[in-house]
Amino acid sequence: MATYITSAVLLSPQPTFEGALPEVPFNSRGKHLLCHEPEYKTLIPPARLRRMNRILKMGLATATQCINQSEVKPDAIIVGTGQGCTIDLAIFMRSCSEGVEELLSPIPFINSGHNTLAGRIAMDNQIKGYNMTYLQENTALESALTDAMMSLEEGKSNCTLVGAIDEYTQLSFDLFDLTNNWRKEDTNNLDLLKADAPGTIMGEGAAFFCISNQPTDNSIEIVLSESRLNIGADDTLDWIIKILGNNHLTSNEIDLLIVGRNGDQRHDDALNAPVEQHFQQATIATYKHLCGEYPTAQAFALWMATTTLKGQELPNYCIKRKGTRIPKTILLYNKSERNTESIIVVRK
Amino acid sequence: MRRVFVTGIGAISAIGTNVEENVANLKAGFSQLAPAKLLKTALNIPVAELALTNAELTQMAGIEPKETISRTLLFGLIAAKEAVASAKISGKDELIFINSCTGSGIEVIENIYQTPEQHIGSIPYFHSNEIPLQIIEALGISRCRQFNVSTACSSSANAIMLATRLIRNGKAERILVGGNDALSRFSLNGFNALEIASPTGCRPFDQQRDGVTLGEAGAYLVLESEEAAKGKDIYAEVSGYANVNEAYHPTSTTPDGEGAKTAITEALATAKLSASDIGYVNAHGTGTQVNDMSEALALSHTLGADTLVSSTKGYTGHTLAACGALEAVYSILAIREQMAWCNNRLQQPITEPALNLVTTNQKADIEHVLSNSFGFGGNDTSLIFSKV
Amino acid sequence: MTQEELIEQLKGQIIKNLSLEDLTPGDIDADGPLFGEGLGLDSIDAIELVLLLEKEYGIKVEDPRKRREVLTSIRTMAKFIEANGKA
Repeated sequence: MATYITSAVLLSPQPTFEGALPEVPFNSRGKHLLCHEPEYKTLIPPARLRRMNRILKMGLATATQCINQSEVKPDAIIVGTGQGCTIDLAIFMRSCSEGVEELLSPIPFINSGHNTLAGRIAMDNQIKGYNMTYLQENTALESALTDAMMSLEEGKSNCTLVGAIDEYTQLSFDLFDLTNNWRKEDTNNLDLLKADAPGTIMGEGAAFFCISNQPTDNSIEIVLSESRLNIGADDTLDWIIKILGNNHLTSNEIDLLIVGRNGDQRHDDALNAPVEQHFQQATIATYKHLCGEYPTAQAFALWMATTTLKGQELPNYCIKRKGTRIPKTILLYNKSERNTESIIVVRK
Repeated sequence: MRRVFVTGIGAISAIGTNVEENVANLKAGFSQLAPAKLLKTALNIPVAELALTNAELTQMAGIEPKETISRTLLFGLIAAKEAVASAKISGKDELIFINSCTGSGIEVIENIYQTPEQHIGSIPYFHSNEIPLQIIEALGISRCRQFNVSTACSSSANAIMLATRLIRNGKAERILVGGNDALSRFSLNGFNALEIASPTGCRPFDQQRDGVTLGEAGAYLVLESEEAAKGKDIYAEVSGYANVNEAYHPTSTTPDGEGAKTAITEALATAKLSASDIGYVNAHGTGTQVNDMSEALALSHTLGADTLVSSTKGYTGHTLAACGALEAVYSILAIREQMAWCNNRLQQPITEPALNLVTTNQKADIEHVLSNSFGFGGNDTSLIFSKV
Repeated sequence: MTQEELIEQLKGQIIKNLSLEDLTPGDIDADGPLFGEGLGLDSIDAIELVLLLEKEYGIKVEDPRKRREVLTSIRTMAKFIEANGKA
């Protein structure tokens, strides 16, 4: 049974919340990028914003917008996150790690629960069906999509809201800086993919998609979503070709390949070049210079694929290698040096 | 729809480091809820802590000692290895791995805050995949599809539901699924700040119950399709499941048990069973006033008044993300032993609504077991395990 | 401090601690109910109010019945502080 994306909303460091990539992308020099946040009070009644931290506001606003834009209303919610609500986790851990374990406010504890967002979306929209959260580093979105597609096939849901969210926090930046994840020098994000230095820049984003078993005028078919842990095996391309085959697709049918290059000189070519070379016919696009690196960044690519299939032309600043065909079938590919790899295919 | 069989189980908790030790202590009515000895905390409230140090657990897990090791990981390794061995499979068999924990080794992460530079060895645990990655490596698996579920206290019940659906729908043949969580200051203080940590030790379904006692555990099941399980010893079938959301409150359940009622009813429907088929209920039963009353109302509304009901949290404490899997193992053992486990520590059972609360372990004819797990965020999950 | 002054101080503390920034002290009726129909507070706010009494005024309120009585309105809180606190 086919499943369709009926609406897609992305909150990112680019002004994408309005529905399209800008003509001139936002750029700045630094080591991280922050979302272009909307005025939350215009989207969510202020009383509901009470006690919410930034990531919950980002998520709830994006989810609300996505529900409003979908013709079919969701009856289930699945959220994927790589890090969850790290700000409140840090606040609560700090407060009880300093030997003072009394008079603690429970709110940061509640807000740091990884499924707090999915629960809040359910509460605010009275969605009482299946409610799931994947906490899964670089492949949380792919797990959420797989689950949603299966729920629709089972007929347990007619429309599932799928989200992917991660936030920048000073704490996670500092910690992963100790393991050399980030650039040592300030970098303009538009120069990131020159990959002329080790490390990348940190980003963030919230993306929500309504996935339905009923096509609408504007809907995009989501064909597959797969991920795996791969400890040291050099068979990524075989794995991709096999999955495409299982879904009755050949490599030649891929018109657009969106890769997760993040500008880290140490890994970028090793992780991406073999796949880029294989899909000879395809246009190759990149995006992490627009949103930075974060665990669920492939959601940015999925949103980009959705807007492209709706007819928006892919801006030149996303294109790494130009092919000749108008994109109808799009493959998203993201591989991390932390042993995860994932692919998503969408088509018109 | 394809049938889904349990072919392997593994469990470590405060009452035992493997399945048989857990069974022995369940039978003996043994539990020890006391202030933490190993966890460093200023809170002087009872917990269900396994009396083995990380060094001892490292040896038991069969891995090289490391300067920084997550106790959550150790629970996961020990129970996952037991489950895999009991299913007689190896790292060479193709499988999917589904894990669940509250964070990924929260008890390690919480040590970083004061002096990050001194805890560089803990930083990998900030990656939410670190624990499953290390478990997979220790099992000798080089490639596999993997999912990590995190829905608070219903996490590993939802993980089992996902595994069951993947097999039923023909998307997998064999899945290792479970959860692990060690005691942490973070969780202990969280429950304490919410004023639902018991000062006296949890007594689920007791009139005098005064809150949750936290525990620690790792528990895993190997689930296989009927074809893959051919010729193997089968512990049970996963026959029913449901997850619903209450959409009511961030941490509290609906007073009338509406969400739990729906989850139980839908689980019965997926199993094509009626209420009278359920021989024993392993309840979520945390020991808080609100949870136990709302769950009792849901049970009395959906099942017959004579169905045997207990919460095993009086033995193990509330093991958070691991409790769904641990209680799945206990439910399966109830079928194997034809024994309804008692509500350990229960003295004055609630009388309204009327429930058949088990006060001493009781031999019974148990064909089907209902296991409930409810989590913050209004997350209600019911699973049904059936005798094969 | 007079009771009215204490009430104004409490309103400010409640707005801050309960993240009610959209309200001003003038919006809050000192005699109106804190929970349900009034300010619409919930069980988590109740915990925050108890923490506020302990942190700012050094008074513990553990008994649930006593809590319900004290946390009826801002005035009942103020009266309780006057009777028991250091304020």
